[in-house]
Amino acid sequence: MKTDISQAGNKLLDHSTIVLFSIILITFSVLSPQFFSLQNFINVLIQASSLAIVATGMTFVLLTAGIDLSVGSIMFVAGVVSGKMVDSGTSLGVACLVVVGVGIGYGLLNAIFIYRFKVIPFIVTLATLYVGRGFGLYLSDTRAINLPENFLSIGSARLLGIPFPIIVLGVVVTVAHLVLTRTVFGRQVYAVGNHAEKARKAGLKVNRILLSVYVICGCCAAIGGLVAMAQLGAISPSFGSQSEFMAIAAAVLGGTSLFGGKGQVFPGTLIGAITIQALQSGLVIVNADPYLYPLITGSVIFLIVLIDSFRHKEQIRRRRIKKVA
Amino acid sequence: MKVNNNISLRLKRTVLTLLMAGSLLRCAPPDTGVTIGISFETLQTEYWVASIEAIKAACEDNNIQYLEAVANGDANRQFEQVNNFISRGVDGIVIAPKDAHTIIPVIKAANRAHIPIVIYNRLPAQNQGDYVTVVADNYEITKRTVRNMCELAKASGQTYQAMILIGDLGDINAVNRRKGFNDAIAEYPEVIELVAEVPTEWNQEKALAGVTNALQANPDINFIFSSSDFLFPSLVSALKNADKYHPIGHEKHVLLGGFDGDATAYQMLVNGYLDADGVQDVYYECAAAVQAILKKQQGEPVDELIIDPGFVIHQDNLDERADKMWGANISTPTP
Amino acid sequence: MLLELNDITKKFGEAEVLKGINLPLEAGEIRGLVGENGAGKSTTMNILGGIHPPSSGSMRLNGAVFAPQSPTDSLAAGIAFIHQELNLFPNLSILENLFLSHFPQKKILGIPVIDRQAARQQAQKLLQQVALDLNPATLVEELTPAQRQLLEIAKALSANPRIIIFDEPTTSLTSHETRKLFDLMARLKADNIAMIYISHNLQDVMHLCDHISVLRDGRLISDYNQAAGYHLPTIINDMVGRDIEQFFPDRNTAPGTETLLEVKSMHAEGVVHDISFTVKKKEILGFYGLVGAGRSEMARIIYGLDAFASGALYWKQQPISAPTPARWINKRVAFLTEDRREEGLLLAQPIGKNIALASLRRFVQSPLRWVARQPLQAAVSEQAEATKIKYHSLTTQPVATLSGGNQQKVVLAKWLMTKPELLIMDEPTKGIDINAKHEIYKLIHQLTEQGAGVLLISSEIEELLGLCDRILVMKQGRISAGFSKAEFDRSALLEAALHTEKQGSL
Repeated sequence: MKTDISQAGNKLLDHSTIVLFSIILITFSVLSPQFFSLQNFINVLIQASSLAIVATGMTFVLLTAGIDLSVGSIMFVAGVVSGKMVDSGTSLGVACLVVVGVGIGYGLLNAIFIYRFKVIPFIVTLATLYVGRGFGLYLSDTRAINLPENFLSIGSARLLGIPFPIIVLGVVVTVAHLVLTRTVFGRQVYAVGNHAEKARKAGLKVNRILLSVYVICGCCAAIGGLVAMAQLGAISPSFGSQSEFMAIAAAVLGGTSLFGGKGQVFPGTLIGAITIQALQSGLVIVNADPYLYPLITGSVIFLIVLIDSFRHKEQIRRRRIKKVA
Repeated sequence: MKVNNNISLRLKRTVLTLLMAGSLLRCAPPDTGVTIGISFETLQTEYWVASIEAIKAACEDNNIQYLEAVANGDANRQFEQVNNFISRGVDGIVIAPKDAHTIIPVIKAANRAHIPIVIYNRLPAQNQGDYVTVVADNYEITKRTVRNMCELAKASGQTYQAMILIGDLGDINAVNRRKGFNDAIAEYPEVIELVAEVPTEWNQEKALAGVTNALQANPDINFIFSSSDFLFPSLVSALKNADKYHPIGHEKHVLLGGFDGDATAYQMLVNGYLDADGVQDVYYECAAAVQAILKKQQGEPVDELIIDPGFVIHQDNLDERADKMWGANISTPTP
Repeated sequence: MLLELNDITKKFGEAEVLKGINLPLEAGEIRGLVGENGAGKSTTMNILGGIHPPSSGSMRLNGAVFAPQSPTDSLAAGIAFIHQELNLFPNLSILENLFLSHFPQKKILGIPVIDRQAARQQAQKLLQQVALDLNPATLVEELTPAQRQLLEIAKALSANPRIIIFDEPTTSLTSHETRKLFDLMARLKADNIAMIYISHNLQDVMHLCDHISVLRDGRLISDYNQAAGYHLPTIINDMVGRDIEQFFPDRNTAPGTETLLEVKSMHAEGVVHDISFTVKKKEILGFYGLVGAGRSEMARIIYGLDAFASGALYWKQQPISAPTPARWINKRVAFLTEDRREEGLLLAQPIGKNIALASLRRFVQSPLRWVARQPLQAAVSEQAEATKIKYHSLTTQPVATLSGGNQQKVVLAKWLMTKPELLIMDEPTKGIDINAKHEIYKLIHQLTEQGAGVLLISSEIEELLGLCDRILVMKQGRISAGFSKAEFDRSALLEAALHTEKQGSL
């Protein structure tokens, strides 16, 4: 009897991502008919795309038991640079390439501080969070940069009837998923996340792998920023701030462990990001009291972290029992 | 997200102390023998930038020297910067404080040194000590702006479904603007029905998503007030996607109102998309702040609370009032 | 000659760890390497494995000079090293662990991706070689310690080595699994692969190896070969450098009549079933069984570290309803866990602090609850002397710098300082050298002389036979047999522990 319950509990833990997602989906669908509509699902997907892309990059970093707090600033700096360029007549294509370039460069900067100077990722990326924000403010004179019409038009463009942000999201998630599951590099990321020292002993180029994940994260953050910009049509001085927390929340909600070595982009992180966005969307659609938003979002994040630590404990317990079986 | 905010604030303090180790102190030209210190919590919004520029301009008009310092969101840093002003013997201090509580010790320090202090844009949490506050009447300005919109609505003979974009509810200004909005539409129950309140936490992405979702849930929304002009790009973007962004006079035009008076709002007024905007009279406030210091210096009586009545700018008074609108005087590209 | 070490020396700073080692190795030969901890076995192998360069001397592989700069060099030269601490990633599958650094790849659209089919085939072949019948997609976290050991060997085989170094490969294996490992080594030997076998278990070494090299204090003391026959006492003498006293000290006490601990029908699903026994004052009760028989789990449950479903615990006839470590410490019951490094010690902290940890309460002065430093330090150094820990400073030297045997003595000292009435010990001599073992045995005796009871879990039959008053054998979570001192019999014990026939699982 007791084991039945605990087994059910374990099942629930293993699939907590989907369970939480379903609860949110069902609750809001019952509360409001508008929520359960194709158009709304597409909206949620579009709105979640930027977050999901940033969280995808974050997943790589979290898998190595690292953290990147600077993603919001990467979005901002990349956005300001490209916005300024487009403003002064550079073509859209070039600007987009520059955005990605800025993201990669930023990630490289993080990685170099972390692995050349051996500063822990938390501190390095915390510092670059503020440096980046400051640099972006300096570049933009703390003024909102309004983007030209053609920038906004990519945001609402469609390819084969599919909105542009969803296409970008699809491409990023697919590539990331394949890299993590089908390439040598991807599998080595998991090994490094489990135990960096063991990975070194196993002959893996640990530094190169760690360097790569921060570059990938920077690149994803820049692309995520681009997708957000194309929808917003403007970059305010607060653009991207707090994205790091939402991205980490999305990844962890999707089953990625803060302890490293566990997690996946698809479906995990993608579902995590969609869940968070569906929650926000649902609250607006049912016109909830504005004071409820932080309460509910906070509770969900608390729940996520709780589940992560339960999962972690459960794994340790299972390992012990395996010895006997 | 409040939790995260707190974490980020605490981290911010640690890191900023490192990053901002070098002070941003700087000196400016001529002399009348009077020097004031200008301390700003942050320059992270256009509004703050316009304000500090206006104060400096007011100083220059009066031939006053000034020192400026920016605390980058760090209350301790701001306190030190003010102490620095005091030890350098300034004749007055104008401060845009980090928040309503951390300003109290700053006031005490200035009072001990017998240096007049003017608090810009935020009311201190306790009424203690000797100081002058210059604030815009967020509630009143919003109420008048929304009332203006409601009159337009009433004149059209239609009924309206209204939406408001709310700011960070931890910010008293955001709360007052929400209250002003609610009280104004309550005067027109037969014309306006409030169907959506979208919290934005002063975040553009949240605003975009929130507006999109609210329009999804209530496709007939045709009356929108944004608690700050800086959310307009998000609002406009969402409206365009829903085919609801059309100039005044178009049959699908949505009544739009905002608050602040920034450059984007000015352009939208000029282009005929925005119906009304509540403007904080930055020039009035800054001139009043500098005047208050001069008067205090000469021992003349000054009101403890200087309220900026602000004004509502709309299509009918655009030409006469534009030069008072701070956003009309900074260059920002057209959206 | 496949491999030759010529006059290898190694200095770490001032300390000369190796003083001229000469070692030959032929293809298809198994050479045992024995010696106490710190004798230089690991350093020698690390030099061979490319982890450290030698300070002087040279190595020849197949007649050519061999000077590896890194583990990768050694691996490329065909030398595989199976460390005592397994280098596996539990979050990855068997297949991924096998090929982590050299996956077979193919190109899709010019992009290199893992060739999963080829990897799977190769993995199955390797698993067959080590007789591991598992799906290569299984996650390593689901494997038993023995299966992990075999996987580590399969990993070594994937590089087609000519020489394999085994460092204590049997510590986590049951005797059945050990025999399977030896079968595997015999097959490798038939394939002409040379092996170096490092172990503290001299019976195994003598049984398995063609040659045995004995190291002591960084020198090669002696070299024996199987053809000429091995003589255990000689080898032990070579290892310790003197005649050791009788290995198991004499008991001067007999078990008392007062019951300390009583366990009645303890049951935890999938872990232990229907466990009942008593421990008396001055008694040493042994628990024998294969690794995974549930002995450690039982001890953890008794001590309140894990939960149990039904059953009862009594301490001196009083029922203990909810055991917790804190409650047991109050009743002066101590628990030495198997995993002393992770569970029993604060490795980065000084020796003295570690010893004091469990008895701080005794040195607390009311009412401010300050710790009385002077008496505490005096008691700590007295205890450190009594347990014969080799240290240079109690206050500054971190425990991590001590050898395994001395670390174990620190754990023991910590619990002895609480003046325990019952000591539960899980594999107290695992992986420590002969001298240290002997000293630990003496301490156990002293403890019983002072009136305490001991519950001793061990996988070494000799140890249990030499120390205990009574031995209980566990099998698959149940007590399968009990022996009093008069009935002690090696083979009966083994038989009771082995899975002889299929049992219906519950």
